[in-house]
Amino acid sequence: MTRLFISFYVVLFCLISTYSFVADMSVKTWLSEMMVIDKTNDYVGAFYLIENLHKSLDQQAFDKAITNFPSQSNTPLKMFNINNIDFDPKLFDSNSIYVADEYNDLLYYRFKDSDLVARIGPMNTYEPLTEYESIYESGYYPFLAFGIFLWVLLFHTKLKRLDKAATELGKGNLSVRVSQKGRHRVGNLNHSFNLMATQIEKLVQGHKNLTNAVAHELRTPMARIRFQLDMLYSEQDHKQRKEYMFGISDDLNELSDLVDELLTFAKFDREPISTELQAHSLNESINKVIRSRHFNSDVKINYQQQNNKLDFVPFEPKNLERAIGNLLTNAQKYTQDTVNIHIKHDKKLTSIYVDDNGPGIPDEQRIDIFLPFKRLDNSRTRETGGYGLGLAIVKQIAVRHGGNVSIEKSPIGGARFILTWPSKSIK
Amino acid sequence: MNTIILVEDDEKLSSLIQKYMQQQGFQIDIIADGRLATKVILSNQPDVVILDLMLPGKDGLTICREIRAQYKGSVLFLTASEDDIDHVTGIELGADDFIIKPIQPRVLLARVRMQLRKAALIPNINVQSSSNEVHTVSDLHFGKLSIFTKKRLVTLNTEKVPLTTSEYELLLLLANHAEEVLSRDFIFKATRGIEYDGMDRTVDTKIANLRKKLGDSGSLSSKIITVRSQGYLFVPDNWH
Repeated sequence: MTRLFISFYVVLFCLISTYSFVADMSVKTWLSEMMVIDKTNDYVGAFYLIENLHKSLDQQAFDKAITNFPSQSNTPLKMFNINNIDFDPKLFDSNSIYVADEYNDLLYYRFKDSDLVARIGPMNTYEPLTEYESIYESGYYPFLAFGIFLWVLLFHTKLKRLDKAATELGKGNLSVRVSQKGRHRVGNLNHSFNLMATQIEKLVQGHKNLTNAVAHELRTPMARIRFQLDMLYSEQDHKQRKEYMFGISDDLNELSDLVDELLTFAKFDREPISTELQAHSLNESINKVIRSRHFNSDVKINYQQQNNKLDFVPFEPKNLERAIGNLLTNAQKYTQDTVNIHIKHDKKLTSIYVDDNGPGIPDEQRIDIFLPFKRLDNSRTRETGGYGLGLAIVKQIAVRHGGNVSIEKSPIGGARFILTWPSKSIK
Repeated sequence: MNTIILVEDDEKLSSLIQKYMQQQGFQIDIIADGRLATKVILSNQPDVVILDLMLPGKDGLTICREIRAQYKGSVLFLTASEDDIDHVTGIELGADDFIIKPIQPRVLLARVRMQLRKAALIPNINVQSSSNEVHTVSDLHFGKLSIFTKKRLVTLNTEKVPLTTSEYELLLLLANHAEEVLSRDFIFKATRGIEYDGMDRTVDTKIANLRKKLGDSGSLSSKIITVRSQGYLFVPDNWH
């Protein structure tokens, strides 16, 4: 606070001083020329009157008038002989006036038809007025300081509030927000801070949810293994023991599949989105996926070949094939008997449509379903298999390609998944 | 025969639990869908209900809330999360105990028996088991393990087991609380009179020594079982 105030004040003080100094220096020459003319014009009338007075009065009366000139006058008047002046008489200008000090109004006038020189000045000011002015001037900087102090105090309180919130956030209280009221605001900073805090909270919460879900998914097969192991230990019957061993083996396989899938998910979460994608044949990739992922022979997969001219679009074959594969696997699990795949191109976007005629997905779950470990029935029923990561991975891959994945109702009754990404590589 | 209803959606785990509990002489029914649980529990009125927290259709907490007013038996929660909030909510709702996955069959059995004992549906194995007193007067016999309290002597297969004083006290404490899960905190307080700070591993070390001397293996222990994140359990019927 003190530092802020001092630095602010010093900077301001220096700026003011520098400005007046530089300004004075730069205008001094021509300013003083103008002031000489100005002062000449101020007093030329007075000198005219004095000279006329001298002409119209005799010597004695004139001297008396000069002697009786009011002593308290701010512009004192004095007469000299031309031989008694302490400067070069050549300095008198065409009006016979010499301005000795244009700032303090000290002027000399040479009478035209005698050796007399009249002097006016230097200008005085009524004493108390000078004092008042000096007090007035000396109060200038303290007053400025006071104003700045108040301003800094207010600003500091605002900053302090933000600082407190930031410290609190740093300590781990992620729900902290700052007031966005007008009198608490420091520019746009409060808004930005809150935005940041919300983002961080969301991120951490998401991470926490994911960790919880992972723990849960890992513990269920672990619970089964533990149970079977303990039962195996106390079981005497050979056939029974074998059954437990196979059971444990199954659960271990499940665990390792889950870990594989988790690693894939983590990999896509971590890897940066590639910026430049090479063009590949989408047709080829889709055919490849259908060959390798068509596991349910009761389901008929229809794929409409696309126009060859538009076939080459930018994508990462390995990753996109995984995404299409996951959509295809998902569709085969939930459909009755048919899965339709087709592609749509326009100038900007390439879209892959995967339709099924299964039960479909309700509107309110069409966003949540792409979250890791989300399932429609919100538990871990094993009937449909999988670990709740397939669609989350599809989403990650779509985002990597600068695109997205969405759900609609399919024209054949079930769900339609649309995977969309830009047709032209993002540079 | 005591009756149990297990509400658990993992088919394999529930069938394993069913098989084990049947072997132990319980009549156990399984419900996989949370939506059906309330009705079945209320109409059957089993002695014990084992409820999984995460269920399809309706979660365990909701079921507990719905049945509590009209169901007189015990409710045991089965959960994969150690989240304290879950515990508090569960106990406020009238849950009697929690079992954290992965569960061990013997621990589950002990927990179920404990609930039945509380409800006085089966007799207590030890009269003293409710007291925290380490020293008891009567001798204790579990299969081939005998504890002679007057002589402070422990025998296994009629052979003397050399135990230090603290090991003996620990064994006596566990045996007096057979089938109860004793937390490290409780054991620490009862044997040394000092509060357990959550970091001290002396209890674990002593348990490990006891197991070694009493012929119980570490991770697959069947006599003194480690109940993960909760404590230790003395099994009275595995000393053969």
